[in-house]
Amino acid sequence: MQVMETRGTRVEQPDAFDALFFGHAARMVRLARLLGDDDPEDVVQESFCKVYAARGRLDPDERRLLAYLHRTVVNEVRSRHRHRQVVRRDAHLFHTDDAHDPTGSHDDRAAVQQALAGLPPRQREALVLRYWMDLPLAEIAEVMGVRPGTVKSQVSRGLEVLGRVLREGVER
Amino acid sequence: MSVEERLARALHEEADAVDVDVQRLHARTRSRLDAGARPRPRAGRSWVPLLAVGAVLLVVAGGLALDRLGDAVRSLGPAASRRGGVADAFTCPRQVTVDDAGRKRDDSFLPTLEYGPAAAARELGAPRYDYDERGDRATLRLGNADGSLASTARFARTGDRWDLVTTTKCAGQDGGILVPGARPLRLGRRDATPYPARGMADRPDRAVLVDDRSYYDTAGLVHHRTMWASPCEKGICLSAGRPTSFIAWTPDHPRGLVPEDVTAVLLPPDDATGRPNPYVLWAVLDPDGSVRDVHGTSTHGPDTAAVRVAGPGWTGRLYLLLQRGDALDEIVVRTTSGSATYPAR
Repeated sequence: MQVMETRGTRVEQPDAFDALFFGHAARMVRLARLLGDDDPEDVVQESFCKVYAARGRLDPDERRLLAYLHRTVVNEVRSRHRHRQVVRRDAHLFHTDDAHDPTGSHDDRAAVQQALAGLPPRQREALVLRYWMDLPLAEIAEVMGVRPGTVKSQVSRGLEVLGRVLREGVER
Repeated sequence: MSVEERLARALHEEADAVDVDVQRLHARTRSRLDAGARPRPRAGRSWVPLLAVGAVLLVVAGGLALDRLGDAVRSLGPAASRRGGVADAFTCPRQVTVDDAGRKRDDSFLPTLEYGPAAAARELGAPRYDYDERGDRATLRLGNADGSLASTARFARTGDRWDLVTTTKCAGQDGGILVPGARPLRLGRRDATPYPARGMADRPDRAVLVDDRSYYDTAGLVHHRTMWASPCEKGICLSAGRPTSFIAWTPDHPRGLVPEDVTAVLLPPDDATGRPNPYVLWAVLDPDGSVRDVHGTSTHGPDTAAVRVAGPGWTGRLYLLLQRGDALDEIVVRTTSGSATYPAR
């Protein structure tokens, strides 16, 4: 039985942490991956350890708790990007395979992914949180630690750059 | 398929391709926790510089750059918002109401009373505001300088804070960003006095007025923006907005002849995000006078000729094509050496 603390009141909540983990860990791994981390599972382990360490001061409201988890994952990925000492030769954010896709869907996906990988980290965060997690701007702002207006700027500029890069790809 | 749709599809496909063994991951995490593991510290971690970098809006990738001062000024809004003098009823052609459920789709306008109504109005750049608080309900009304009502925001008290309940704001006839006007597909001067080129254009002495039109920002407030074209290092550049907050476009292709989507110059991208905008603006730089004409084609309607913009002392020209996005399939650039066709979607 694990002990969770909420709002300073020590309460026993068996499996509360485990429930949070099983409910969201897989999605958080995918988020870390889409944000460009090359060891997303380690990011998520670290993030859940932080959530666990902070459990005594976290708002028990599920939405707030999830927002905290999202923010922790985003910050962890940022931190690793920032402090990575070794410059990777492979600059691609996403893995791509060579399977032939007669529909052309794979080519388009690879083109989008490559374009996304070239964006500044904040723009990539905003686009992933918006178009994959489907978060509203206010929640994205909370996760990224910025104002909603800044999120809008990042989303719109990210889309602008993506559109241009993809168009140039078509022209080549 | 739009860029947003392509992006969403690519992200979902990539995410789906990531296989996660949650049981194994959980066991590892539990093992760390049971061993008394604390989050690993990272040397030199400080978010202040990172957030500062994130907040700097000096230069963005590609040809668009925000004025070094512009967004900072914009975010602060007017020096003060005057209380009172806001009309009781809307006079704009259409209003958009967003409630708590609808905010999932449209969350572009999220006023807060955390620092009081005056701060909220100032933050949103409203020249005027009115505020009414009765019991557990409050209403903030934002107004333009002439007193016309731009938007209302209704709040309900929950404990010691005010929660936003609904917002209603001015919008164009299509629910979108543009203030309706005569001949919206025409570039040029309109009702308002254009902002001067000085402070916006690289060479204000050689700048040519391209467009001047009004739009509703995310709070329903009316702004107008002016677009100038002028010679610059990369040929002919565009700048649009107002002298204290504008967007500049420089050609991605200095040798020109390739259409570039410059819709973000026609309408401010921050205010346009997520809102209906039926128009697109394309630009083709003609650096050496080799372009004969530029026009857009559509399978559903007639061709549209681009407007040629040239000014005193210019060494090149700029072709601008304004059209409804759904009425433009391809852009044809005809030069002295032949024609080239580019997709416009």
